[in-house]
Amino acid sequence: MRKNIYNYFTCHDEILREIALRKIETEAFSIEVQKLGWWVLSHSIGN
Amino acid sequence: MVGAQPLYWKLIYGEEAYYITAISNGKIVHRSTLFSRNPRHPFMGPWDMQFGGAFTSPKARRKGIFMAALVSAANKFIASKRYKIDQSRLILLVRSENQITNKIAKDLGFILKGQVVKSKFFLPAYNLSMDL
Repeated sequence: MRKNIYNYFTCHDEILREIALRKIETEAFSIEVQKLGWWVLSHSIGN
Repeated sequence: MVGAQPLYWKLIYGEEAYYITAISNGKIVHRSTLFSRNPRHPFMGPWDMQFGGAFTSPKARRKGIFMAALVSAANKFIASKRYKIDQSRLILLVRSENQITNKIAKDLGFILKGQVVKSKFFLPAYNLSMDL
């Protein structure tokens, strides 16, 4: 049975900006970021 | 109904939320979300956002997709109006037994702040059990 305990991590300021500046390898896949709303919900269910 | 947000939506994701997908050969191989404070995550601050609900298809693992999604989420957060320098934090909850993701979080520079326990109600809430 899975434990329902989670480690709680945070980051901010410099570390957050460092993460954001990391280069992403996009040869094998593409990343899409969409604002969550009805359209995305129906789109994902449709797939 | 485009653009409408029902009440339960805000209960789960808060005021602002993004849906992140990784697509490979026309198929979704990863999904995750970036969301603001909501009743299920009361320990979050008003300017915080959390990266969560991540799932990668087993065949697509070990290709850096989780990291790429996290980087995209960090970019989106910094570009959003919610981001306030010195106040905003990006939060990540990782199952305590998930060694790979725990290592990724530490290697990226995330700081372990404590532990959170998920309650067993129909709409589970996550409550701080230990604050380091």
